[in-house]
Amino acid sequence: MGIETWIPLVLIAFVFVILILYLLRQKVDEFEVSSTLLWRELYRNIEATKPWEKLRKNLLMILQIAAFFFLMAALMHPYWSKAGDPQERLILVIDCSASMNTKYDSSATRLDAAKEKACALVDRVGLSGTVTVISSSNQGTLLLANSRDSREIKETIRSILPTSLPGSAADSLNLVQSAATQREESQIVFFTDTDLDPGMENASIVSLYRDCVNVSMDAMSCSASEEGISILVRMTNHSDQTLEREINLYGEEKLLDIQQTILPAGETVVLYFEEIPAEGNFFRAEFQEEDDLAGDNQTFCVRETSDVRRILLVTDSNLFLEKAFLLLPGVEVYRTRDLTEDWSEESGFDLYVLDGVDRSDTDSGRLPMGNLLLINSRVGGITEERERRSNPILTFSEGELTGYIANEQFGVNEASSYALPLWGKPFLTGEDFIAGYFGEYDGRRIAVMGFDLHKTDFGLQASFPVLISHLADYLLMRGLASETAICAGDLLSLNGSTSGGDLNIVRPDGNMDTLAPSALTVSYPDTETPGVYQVSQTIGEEERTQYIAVNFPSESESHVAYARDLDSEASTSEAVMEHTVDLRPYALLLLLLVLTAEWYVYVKQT
Amino acid sequence: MSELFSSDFFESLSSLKLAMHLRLEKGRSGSRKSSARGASVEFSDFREYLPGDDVRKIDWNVYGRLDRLYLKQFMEEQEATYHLFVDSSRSMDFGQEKKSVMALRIAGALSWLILGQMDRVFLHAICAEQVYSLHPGRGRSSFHNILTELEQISFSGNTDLERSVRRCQIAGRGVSIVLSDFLDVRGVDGLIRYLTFQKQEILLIQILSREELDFDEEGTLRLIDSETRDDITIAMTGQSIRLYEESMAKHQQTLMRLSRKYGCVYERVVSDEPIGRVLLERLANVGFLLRK
Repeated sequence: MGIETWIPLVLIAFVFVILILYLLRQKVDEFEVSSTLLWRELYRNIEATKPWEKLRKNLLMILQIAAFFFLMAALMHPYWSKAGDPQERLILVIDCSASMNTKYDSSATRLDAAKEKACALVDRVGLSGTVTVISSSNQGTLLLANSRDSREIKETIRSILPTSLPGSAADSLNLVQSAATQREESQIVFFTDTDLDPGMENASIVSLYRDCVNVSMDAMSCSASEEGISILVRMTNHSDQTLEREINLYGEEKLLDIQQTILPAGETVVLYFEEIPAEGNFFRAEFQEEDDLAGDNQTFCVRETSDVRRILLVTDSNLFLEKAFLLLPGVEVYRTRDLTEDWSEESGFDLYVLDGVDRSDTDSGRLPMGNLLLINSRVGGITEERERRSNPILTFSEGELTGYIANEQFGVNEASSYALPLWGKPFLTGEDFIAGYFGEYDGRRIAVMGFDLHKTDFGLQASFPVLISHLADYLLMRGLASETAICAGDLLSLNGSTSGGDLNIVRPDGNMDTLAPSALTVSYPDTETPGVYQVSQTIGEEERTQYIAVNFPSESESHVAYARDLDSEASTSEAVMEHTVDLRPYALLLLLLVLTAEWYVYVKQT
Repeated sequence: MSELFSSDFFESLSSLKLAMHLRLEKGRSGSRKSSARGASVEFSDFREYLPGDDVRKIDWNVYGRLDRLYLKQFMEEQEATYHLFVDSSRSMDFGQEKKSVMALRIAGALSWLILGQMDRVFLHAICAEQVYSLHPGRGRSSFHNILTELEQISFSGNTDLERSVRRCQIAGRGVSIVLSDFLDVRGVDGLIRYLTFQKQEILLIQILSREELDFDEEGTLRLIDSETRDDITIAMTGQSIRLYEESMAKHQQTLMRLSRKYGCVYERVVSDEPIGRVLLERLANVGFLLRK
């Protein structure tokens, strides 16, 4: 048996108050006897003057004290863990994703309710069991392992903060399974608002889902024209009633426009703001009205810049390569068959892609400024070919340029074996040679691949456009950030120049983080808070700044679909609580019986 | 007849007579055989001659046979004297069925029997402050007066049996019957010794009320002595009542031991018992009364 709270035990001091009241109760009846001689003989053995003698055989006092004890027991909320099924290890998984910020009742969110239910469960487990606490949003995080200190456990639970991250308790299943397999007696309880099927024994779900009134701002985009900025806002009514909303449009912090719209139940509505004055680098749209989930009542978008990258493709004919570059956003591709002798007409490009060009007699110092992609090409001072290999199998090695394609292989007719320069890093290898490398040299970024694309089927593989994208990211430096709009929790890819200063990221809350630039993309993970992030880097005397909009993951979090019947035992069972018997009703019943008996005795005595 | 003595009361007496084991000294003649050897014609017994005896009583026939001198003794018929001491202290006026009523009824019954045997009865109402001796009675004709005086006895004052009895006029051998609750055992010893010195056959009849024997009050009580008005506060727990009952039993055993020590007859009656049972069973069981 356990006790949920020991605090009511301090009320035991009032028992002494009851005793004192009865001691002070001076009620001595006079009774005349023929003689007190015999009574005086036994008086020595009966010290009636001692106060506690007055308390004997006082049924009313005993009943009142018993009633007080039963009341105190009820306040202490005792419980009994069923024999034969001890909860030796309890694993609590608390969903803290964005949807848990939805209101549960008038004063608490789903996360608040989950934490209180979890704390109540900890009290029921008592000191005989251990508790492990895991928080779950887009991934599981082990907060506390195998603790028996109920105070520490509840503090850990209460310290779980709400997030704006997508995900659910399902994202922590791997971690939970890992924790549960350590001991067979583990009981797992998920506190979540999503329809979760744990697929594990001894797992139960405490559902925090409730129907709510919520309209979400799903997405926002803007485009520039001669008349000004056009902004599109998409919103969805997730409730079962038609709602009217007023939408405010801000350019940075300046109110630009207000519109009203009616959203039918369950419908998505698109709203247009046209001919908006081109003010501000980013825009924000938000609802004037509040609902049960405030996090998705606003959305952000960043004004696109006209920072277009120009690529010069030097090739006789390479359709795959040309198409691959044309698919890249923010680039303009130009093609030429050959370079002029002095490169006079070929200057001013951001990237030169040389396909099958032999300029081994050219010093790289004579090349126009711009990054280089050499495919089956030779440039003096940049490439040093040792030999040609026939029919090799080339493999992408692990590295910054080979994300998602590392260890992929393809066959070529012939490949060059390069001597790796000091500034180079290999990313493509044969059995025992280097077929491709990259690095920075002489103020420019360079990537070299030593095979002919025409003589391989690599262009037909899925890894080809991926490689081109990585090469473009590295060589083009299209912006400080690869994307201008992401969801909360997504990694922010930053492309800082190594020739510049540190990358400074200012979050929506005003705090700033600093990252060192890298030759390749730097991932910034702290995008939990929706808003506009500002990334800046000083390169020489120029300061480059870029804004990134991080939005609430409304697609997955604004409306949690719940397919199961909420009244079903599987979805709403609090299985651990079924293993304990609440003794408080019994204590209250005994209290009622004692009070009835006390009333009867009192009536009888009077 | 009064409420104390009804016709039923006297009917119960008709089947009784006193059983006496008394040797009387010289006194008035009565119908009771006396163990005193006097000048009557009825032979009683022989005893050896001692220097100084009356030589006229020497039985010469016995001398001739035994060659030793013996005196002949004769029985003497004499009137018996009874002293009835009724404790008239306030403690006797206690109980739902009052002890005083039982005492007066027993005194009346015994007076009736004594007078019927042509013996003399002296009634004394005693308490520490005074002794009230009723007019002596002899013969049934004086019974009515005795009843009238018994009814006039008031029960008040404190108890001091020995000092009270000492103030009474006791002459010659007789029977002393003490009717009291004997709650103060200290005075009983002196009482018995004094009466024994006065050559009395002693009958002690202890009268207690049912409330004194079966005390069943609850709670914390301030007990007030009916005579002295002293008080004592006691919580009536199971232990205290048990100790009281043990004390009462011990008190009775003390009385019985004193009675045996001095050759007295002792009996205890309860005030709510029927008078007929008291006389026909209680006093008959101790051999004081006989059925005809």
